[in-house]
Amino acid sequence: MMEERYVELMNKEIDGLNTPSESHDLQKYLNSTSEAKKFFDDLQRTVKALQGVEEKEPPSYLRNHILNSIKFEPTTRASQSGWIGRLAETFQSRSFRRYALVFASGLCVGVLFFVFANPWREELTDTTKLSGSMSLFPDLSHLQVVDSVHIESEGIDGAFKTYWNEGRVFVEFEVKSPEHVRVELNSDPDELVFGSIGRLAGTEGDVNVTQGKIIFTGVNSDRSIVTFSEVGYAQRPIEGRIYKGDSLVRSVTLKAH
Amino acid sequence: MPELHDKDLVKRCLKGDQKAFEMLLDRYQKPIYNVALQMVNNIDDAADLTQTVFIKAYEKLNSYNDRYKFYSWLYRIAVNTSLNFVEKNKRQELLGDRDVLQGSLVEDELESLERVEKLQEAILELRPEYRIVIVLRHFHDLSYDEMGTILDIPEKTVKSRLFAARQMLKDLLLKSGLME
Repeated sequence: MMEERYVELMNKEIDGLNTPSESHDLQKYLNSTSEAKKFFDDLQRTVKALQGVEEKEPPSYLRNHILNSIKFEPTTRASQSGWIGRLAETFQSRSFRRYALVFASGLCVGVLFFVFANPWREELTDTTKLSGSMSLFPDLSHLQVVDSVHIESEGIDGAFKTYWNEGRVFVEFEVKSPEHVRVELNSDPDELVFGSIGRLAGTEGDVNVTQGKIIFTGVNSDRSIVTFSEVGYAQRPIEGRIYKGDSLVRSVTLKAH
Repeated sequence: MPELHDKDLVKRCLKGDQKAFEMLLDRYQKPIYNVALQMVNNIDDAADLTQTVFIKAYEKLNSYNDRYKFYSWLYRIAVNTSLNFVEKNKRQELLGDRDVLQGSLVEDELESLERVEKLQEAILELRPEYRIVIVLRHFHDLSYDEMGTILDIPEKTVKSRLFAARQMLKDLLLKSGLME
């Protein structure tokens, strides 16, 4: 097996790029190894064979074909000078596109990771920051419903469901009303700690989390899922209360298990 | 009249000067045609590719950055166009390559013809990324640096690819009996 350095020197010798000292080193090496000498001779003969090939003339019709297929008109030159030009050039380069693709792929993986497997989900303690915002929307389709309550009174149409999975309790609710209502979800903070709220739609600010209560205010809560984490085994039910103004119009209790 | 520099001709082209483009065409038609020919080994395809290259070049002329050599930019279009073609068509049939390489012989015609055919066949055996470095270095006499610019790869990669390509070609020529 020939040393990589000498293979490189052979190639550089062929290209006429060796320094006198490198040529000398190579010659010494070739004199000492018949295998290397043969390899180098063959390589030289290969390159010599290539030199026997000369350029061909293009077909005579080609020039006119090309000229006839182009519509000549003034063109605006793209700005290539200054930092804008260099930036544009960077964006156009293949290596940039390659890095951009890798970056975008990584970003997608990261976003998917956060959406489906966010390991910090339970560490959300400043829950007020989640007020009314679209957050995580867990897929509950594979879980069994623990409790379900449907209400239809005073024009209010509401549905509440609970699910349990590995120390997490999910409350799914949707309330619609012709006039503004306030929906509160209450849980015992010693048993259930609020984790997050996910919503399919909704208005910014129409859900607030304060003092352990999840409060929706409006006419249509849309489908929302509140996730709690169990501190211990949650024995007490979660309470759902619906107010019109200051009047409690309906309350429901939902089992966590 | 002194010979105009490529960059000046490009500027004139951008103003719609057809004559300037014709001068660039006359200057580079032959090498570009030969890059294509050496990559695809078919006269008609090489002519089509050359036409495509010049049309593309004209259409993209406003994006040419004159910090680079015009021919490097043009070669780059030619190389990419040829490689795309080869990729789409994979292995080209070795047709009457007598057309392709005839006239480039230096020894007795018939014997040389056979040798050149074998050589061309061996070159076509190389994967396109190796074939192109052989073509650019040995048929177009481009430097490592210029090849790196055209192929958009580091000079180090150019070298390693060229060295490997030569070695592969050597093995193919020995196998074909062209070299003993």
